[in-house]
Amino acid sequence: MFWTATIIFLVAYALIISEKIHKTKVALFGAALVLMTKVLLQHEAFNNIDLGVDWNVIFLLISMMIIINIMTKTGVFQYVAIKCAKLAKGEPFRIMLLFAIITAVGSAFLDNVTTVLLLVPVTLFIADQLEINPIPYLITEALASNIGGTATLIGDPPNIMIASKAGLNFMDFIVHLTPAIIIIFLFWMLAWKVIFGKRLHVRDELKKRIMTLQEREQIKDPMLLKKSLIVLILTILGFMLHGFFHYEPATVALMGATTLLLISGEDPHSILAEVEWPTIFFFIGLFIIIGGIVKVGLVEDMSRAMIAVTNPQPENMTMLAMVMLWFSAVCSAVVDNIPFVATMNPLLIDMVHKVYGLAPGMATVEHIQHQAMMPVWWSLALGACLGGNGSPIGASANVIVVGLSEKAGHKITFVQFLKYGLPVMLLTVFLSMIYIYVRYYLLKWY
Amino acid sequence: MDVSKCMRTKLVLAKPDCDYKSLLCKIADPTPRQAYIVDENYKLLGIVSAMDLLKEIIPSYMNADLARSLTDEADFLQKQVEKVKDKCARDIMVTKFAYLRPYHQLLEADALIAERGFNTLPVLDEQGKLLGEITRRNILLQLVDSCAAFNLNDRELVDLSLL
Repeated sequence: MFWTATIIFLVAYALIISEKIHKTKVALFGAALVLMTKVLLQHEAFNNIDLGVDWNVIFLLISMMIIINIMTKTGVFQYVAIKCAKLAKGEPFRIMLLFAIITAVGSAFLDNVTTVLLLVPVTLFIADQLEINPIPYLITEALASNIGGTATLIGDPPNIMIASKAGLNFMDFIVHLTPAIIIIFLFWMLAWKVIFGKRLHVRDELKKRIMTLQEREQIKDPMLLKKSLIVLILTILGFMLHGFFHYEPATVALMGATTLLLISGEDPHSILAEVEWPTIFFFIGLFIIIGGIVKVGLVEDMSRAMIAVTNPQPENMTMLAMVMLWFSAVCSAVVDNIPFVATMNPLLIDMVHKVYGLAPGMATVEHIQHQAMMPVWWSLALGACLGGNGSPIGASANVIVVGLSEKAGHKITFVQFLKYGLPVMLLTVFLSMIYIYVRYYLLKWY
Repeated sequence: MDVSKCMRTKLVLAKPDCDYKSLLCKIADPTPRQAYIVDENYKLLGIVSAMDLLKEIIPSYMNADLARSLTDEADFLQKQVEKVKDKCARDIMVTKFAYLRPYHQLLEADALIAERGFNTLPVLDEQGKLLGEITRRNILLQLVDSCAAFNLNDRELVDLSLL
């Protein structure tokens, strides 16, 4: 059983990395093999949250996708983007800065891919109007979406997975990760100001073109916009309070999604058809494959190796946090961060058992969220999300931006993306390291 | 009935190095829907339709909402035409196309047009030489001709601007 599960896991991982076969096909076929070989029994795969599918993650993702699918029909993102370009008075660096802010904030509450899909056409349009090269703007947006998505529980799938596994709530992410992201974003924009501030110029008559654009034309359905904004605000409020009322985040998101579906008047067939089912089934397959290696003890072996390298103590896990941060970042730059976090989550849970001397399955929320353990979870989240900036294939948003840019006649090469993305990844992970070290180990501010 | 009996043989032809503006002028006439790009032996190399020319001007990012935000549409289009003016037929033409042989039946042409959603299909000989084209209109006219029940005089045009 051990080798069966290990081989399925390794082959699936290799195929996902190679991108030769669609990752959803790989994950689902791998999951079917895990069940067929009885590494994992079907009731374990579907009913045991520790070994099988994490339905909290699945329903949170589906619900947020429904809310986003309805919101995108209103045209609000395009409205905000054109409004910002006018607020910047057509100044190219100010536009870059404001577009980065919109993307980061949008990605903190919505799916990263949707955010860039909505903003890239407007960016190409504005760049065309200003007769400037759109590539620096587009790469900046991809990077901003990955950075912004790190700030909240719902911003990036790795955060959703970590929150579910570690029992963290929305406010935990706001308190611990949002300040880090604000600091990182400020430093990044300062660096961008130095690099691009004096390089981007446009003639005054081109700036005037921006000022003549009609942003109000972007709002397609004002009533739907009002309904969507009200539901989104209430859902975010619900996320902020879900810990207090003892609701899972998926319950809050499901309430928001179904309410909006009910009051929007949109056809459920078309809205549900737009849910990214391949991503959802990728998660389902992956959870089952990972469940297999947890059950046979491979994760336990990996956990022993990690303990030997980092020597975590019940009251101090500094080395583990630092190793986890950089290891996650480097891995996420080359591997999809979803399978990476799916593997790291049970590994960290196993480490909790070993470090605190608990029998298998006896770790409680107090152990998983122990003061010494929390910086490790945050390191995993920061590393996995920010590491995606390290290469054009490191995150889905990067792949989308590169594809859309090429379609518009502005090819972004692998090396060209690396020139922007890799330094930003190194800078942001380095700043994360300083943040983790100063906040949790120097100031002891947990 | 064979395709060769009802195909149109007066077509718009262009060489692969024909530039964008010339192509635009060539199919500006209301009748032809596409220009056929041929070599010196009239072998068909590709097809450029009005849609292909439009796609070159309209950027991939443009959608109806963004287009509405523009206040100076003429300036935008002029700029886009300037961008593509150096492109020639070989850069724009579609090189994978369905075609008919002169001995194919009209019903087969009709079915192919309906299946693939084309308006027009070229007719080629065995060497790939362009002989003519079949349009939906050709097929409809053939239907009208073959059926005595239709009154060909009943096709008066109404000028709406005079109403």
